[in-house]
Amino acid sequence: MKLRNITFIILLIFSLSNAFSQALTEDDYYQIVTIPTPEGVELEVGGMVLMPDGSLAACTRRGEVWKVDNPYMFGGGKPVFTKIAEGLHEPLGLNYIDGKLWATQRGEVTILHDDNSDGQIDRFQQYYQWPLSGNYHQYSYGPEITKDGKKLFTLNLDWIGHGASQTKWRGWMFTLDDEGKMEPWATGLRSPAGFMVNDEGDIFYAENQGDWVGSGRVTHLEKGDFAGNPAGLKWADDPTSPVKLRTEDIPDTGQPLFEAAQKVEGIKAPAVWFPHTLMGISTSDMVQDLSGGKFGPFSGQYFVGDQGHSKIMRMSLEKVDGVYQGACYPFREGFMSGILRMEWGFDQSMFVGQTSRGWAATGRSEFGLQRLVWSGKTPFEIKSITSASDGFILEFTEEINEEKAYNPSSYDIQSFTYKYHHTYGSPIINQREVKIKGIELSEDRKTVHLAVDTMRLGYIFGITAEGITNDKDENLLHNVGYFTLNRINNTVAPLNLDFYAVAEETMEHDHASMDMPTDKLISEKRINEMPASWNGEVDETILIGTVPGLKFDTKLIQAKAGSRVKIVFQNNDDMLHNLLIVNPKTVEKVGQAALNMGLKGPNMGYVPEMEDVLYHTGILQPESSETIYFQAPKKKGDYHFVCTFPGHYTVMNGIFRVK
Amino acid sequence: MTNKLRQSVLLLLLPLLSFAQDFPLNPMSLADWQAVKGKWSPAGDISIHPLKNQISVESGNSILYASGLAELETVKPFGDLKLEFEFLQSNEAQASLLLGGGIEINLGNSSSGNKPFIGTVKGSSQAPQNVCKATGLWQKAEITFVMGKEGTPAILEKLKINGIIIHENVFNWSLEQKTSPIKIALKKGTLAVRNMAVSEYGDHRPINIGNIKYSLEETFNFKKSEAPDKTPPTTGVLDEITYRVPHDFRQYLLTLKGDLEVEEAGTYAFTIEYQGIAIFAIDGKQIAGFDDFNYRVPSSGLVELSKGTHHFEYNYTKAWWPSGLGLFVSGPTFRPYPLHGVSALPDLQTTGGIFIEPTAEKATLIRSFMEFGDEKKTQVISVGSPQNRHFSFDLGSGAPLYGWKGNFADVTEMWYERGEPQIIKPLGQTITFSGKNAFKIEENSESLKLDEYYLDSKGIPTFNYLLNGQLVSQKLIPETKGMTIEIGSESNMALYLIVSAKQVKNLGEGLYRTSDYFINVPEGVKVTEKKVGDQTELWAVANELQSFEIIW
Repeated sequence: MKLRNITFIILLIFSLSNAFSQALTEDDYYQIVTIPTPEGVELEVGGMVLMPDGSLAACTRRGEVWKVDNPYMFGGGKPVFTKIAEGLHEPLGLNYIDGKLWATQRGEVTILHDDNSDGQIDRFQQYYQWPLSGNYHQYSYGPEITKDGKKLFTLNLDWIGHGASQTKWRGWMFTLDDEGKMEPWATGLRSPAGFMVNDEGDIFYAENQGDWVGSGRVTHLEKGDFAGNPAGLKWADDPTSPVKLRTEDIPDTGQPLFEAAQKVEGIKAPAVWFPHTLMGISTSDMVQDLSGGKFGPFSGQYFVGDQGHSKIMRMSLEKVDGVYQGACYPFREGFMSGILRMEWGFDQSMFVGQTSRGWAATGRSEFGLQRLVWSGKTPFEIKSITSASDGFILEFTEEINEEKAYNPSSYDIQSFTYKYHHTYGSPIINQREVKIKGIELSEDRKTVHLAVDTMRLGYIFGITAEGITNDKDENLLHNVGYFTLNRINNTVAPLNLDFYAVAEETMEHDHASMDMPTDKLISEKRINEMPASWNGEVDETILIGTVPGLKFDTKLIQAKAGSRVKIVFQNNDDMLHNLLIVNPKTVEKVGQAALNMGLKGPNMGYVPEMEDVLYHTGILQPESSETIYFQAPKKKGDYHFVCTFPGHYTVMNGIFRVK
Repeated sequence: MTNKLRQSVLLLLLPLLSFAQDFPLNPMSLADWQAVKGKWSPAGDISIHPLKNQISVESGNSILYASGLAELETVKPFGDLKLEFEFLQSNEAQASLLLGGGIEINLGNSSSGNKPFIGTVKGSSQAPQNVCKATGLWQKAEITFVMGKEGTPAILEKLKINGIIIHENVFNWSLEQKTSPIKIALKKGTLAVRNMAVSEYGDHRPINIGNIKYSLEETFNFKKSEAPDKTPPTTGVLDEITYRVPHDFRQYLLTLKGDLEVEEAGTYAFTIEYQGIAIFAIDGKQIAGFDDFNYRVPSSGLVELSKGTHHFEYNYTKAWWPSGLGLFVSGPTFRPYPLHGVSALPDLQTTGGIFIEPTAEKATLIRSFMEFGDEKKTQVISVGSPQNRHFSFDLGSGAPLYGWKGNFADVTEMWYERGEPQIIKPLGQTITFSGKNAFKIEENSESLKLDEYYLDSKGIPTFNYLLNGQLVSQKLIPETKGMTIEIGSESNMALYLIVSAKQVKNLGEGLYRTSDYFINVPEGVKVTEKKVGDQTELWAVANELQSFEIIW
């Protein structure tokens, strides 16, 4: 071959590979700008509000209120931090109403006054107050403003080994009117740190996985609703309470929450479930994009923060027969700490207030203040998933490739749900592969109508569109969304299957395990009974427990090579954990593999199928223990013990020294 | 005092015992001390006006005092010891305590901030903060001291003054290794001493544990009664007190029974420290512990034991914390020691601690929960002033809780990790108030409602409450001598509670004294005294009183 031709071919290959290696990331579309905090300022953001003069006010978990001037840093300058108040008790809500800052502390709503206009708060007016038990978990939040101008608040439950409502109104949402008159609104709340009023005046709140809560979720709260955790029902007898349910009305059977809500009037099923570990682990604040396009293509949709995974997810809603449902999607990862508060700047950038003290987060900083800015470029995303009478409609931000659109294997749809019971969290249950029966691509090639074989009400549909590409042959930036189906949308006609049916296919890939609770997780690497061949003799008994802050209570355990080891793992924490014994230097590898298990994760105890995993327990409920027996490896070395529950492995690990 | 009388006094102290280290020392009589210089006179009580420095003495036999150059020492020499006593100084008093024949500890009056601070070891460690009370108030010193031995120095293990640890583990290599009398030396001014008590601090161990049998039962919700029946208890034998027994229960109740070998008859204190629920009994009688969850707050009890073998039973229920159970014994002549195995009680994880000191020109405000007696108050605001005078105020009942001087606050239990206790702790020398509602209207039991508080230019708050719909206000202003409380009221009917305490002594001209502090009421203000239970209350009409001082 001539040299010129060879060169040309090499150059061609080079340029082609360059084009493919520059995959676009989240950062290309939405940039995270860090607002630097001066050393010594513990800006553990609890509440945040943007002020009319362009500054940002933040109250912190240490009781302080800071004014941050020049938070936008236009022109490349620095922000200026001034402490304007202190002496509040862990305030987790801040708002600016009628020219005053309103803060919600643990036990009261306080109006902050600067009477001499010197920039410092000099008068703390107790506007409203409620009793406290002295339990740390009694966090209090607000105010948000309802459509009729009332102020909206929520109160966390206590934690005493399980959620409880030890003083009045814990676990409730309530309003205060202009005269300070209190009206209870709804209950069943556990950890209602994030809540909002949307453009239609409807109230939503985000809940965290916990006791009675199988996974994180967003619920529409109407007056008198009960959202799931019964601890607050203790106060439902109060003459002002609009909630008709009582504790004894609440079923504890493990049937899905949607089914319980069908049987027991007053139970409100969520609008959108956020499947645990896939869509965060501790849902926090929520905001709605009313910018009309200034924050990207998702106008009208919602953004939901996560404390544990230091990320923001996206949510779209529709209303069918007056009932909200919709989908959540990945949006932006990589924030510096645990996200607690999100507020829009005047330019429709998003300020994100963060803290992780006490609950480890993926972002390793103790606290942070960042700003999310749209680059102006529209990412190639699933813009929204809405429902049709026979399936789902996926709208994309760009035209998609026709051939791929019509290929059913471009998509994967799984439906599943969670148990509703007093236990902390829930495995995924009743998971089923959903077959696509028909596909229609719109004329503008931006929307796909997928007709499916089952539309189980109350179920979550995890829809992946991995095979879809745009005209530039690019993949989607995020190719999955999780749709919660509460009502069949009969206003969207089904596909005419005479034209749009897909060919029947035998499913080749194996079904995800169905309804397998992890205490039944059987594996040769998990032996809970002493092997008979040991004749009752154990060489090494090791007790491992947990301490708060996602830690084991020991960093080092040891055993002789080949010896008979018994490990008793006691989960003393208020979260789920597991314990794996893995090969030397494989904590990162195994931990990542567990994260990547997707929907299979919970039912497989987050134990990836890998040779590097030597032995393991199942997932342990809070305050429970499990014993495993095994023979220590014959080869000496520093192995590891690690918890692979998503979000934990980077801090929750130690050395298992085999000598 | 005879032995029998002493022992019955010790048994009476049963409910007061809180920790092994607090085992009551042997009270000393005045006859145990001799004057080696100057004149030491006995008295019943001594009063010194904090501002005017006037001294007046009542006759009696419970205290010793001297003026000018004077020295007092014990008749008997001591080696290893635990000592406590109370002392009271005049304004200019300069004095010291001498131990081991060479360690000199400053007992002089440093209440106006002059160095060296009380508790400073001469030629060695400075006191880290000034914990000296005002002139004329009784101060308490607690000392643990160990003589030097072959290869080890003499060690001042602990010096506590007014409840604050001043020194721990200060070495002295130069002392002669022999017993010597305890000496109190006065150079200038007046010093009074009372309530001296001492214990020899030996290394012998007259109590031992043996023959331990255990039984382990499964529990559910931390209760045996809710446990599934199907799991039978496991039993066995142990070498030592521990929870490390092989088992598969998720939650359990561990019962340990065994022998207590007592070499010398006497009164002993047993302390259990544990994580969970625990009860400890000897010979069938409960000595320590209680039926509720407890994380590491020690529980003690005193018991009289004859020589020989006794039986103990230690019941431990594991709660949601990791397992941990410990047992300590203490007595009048030996250092407390553990009776449990090394692995039974996990090390208490101590953190570096988070401390706040007011550094700006304005006061520092912290709102938190706070322990007050048996109660956990949930609406407390603490104010720390840059002049090192601080207070905590209960917003719930509108009443001062504590006042203190010196270092401000330990907030580790608020801001370390989740801060589960959410409790603030004073770091300086503290006085405790009654915590009762400060305002009332006669014949009306309506409680106060907080309206707001506002700050002055120094950041000091004025607390505004509504009483019967009308405004009443309180402002606590830290000062060098303590604090001034300014009060106001819209109604002339409002009464203010100046003090409620066990003993309130009227020293004339508006000066009163409780066991911990002075109250200086402006002359001419009418003060009404009321007895409520064992407390004496002083009330005045708020608008007449307007302000008064607390001096400590």
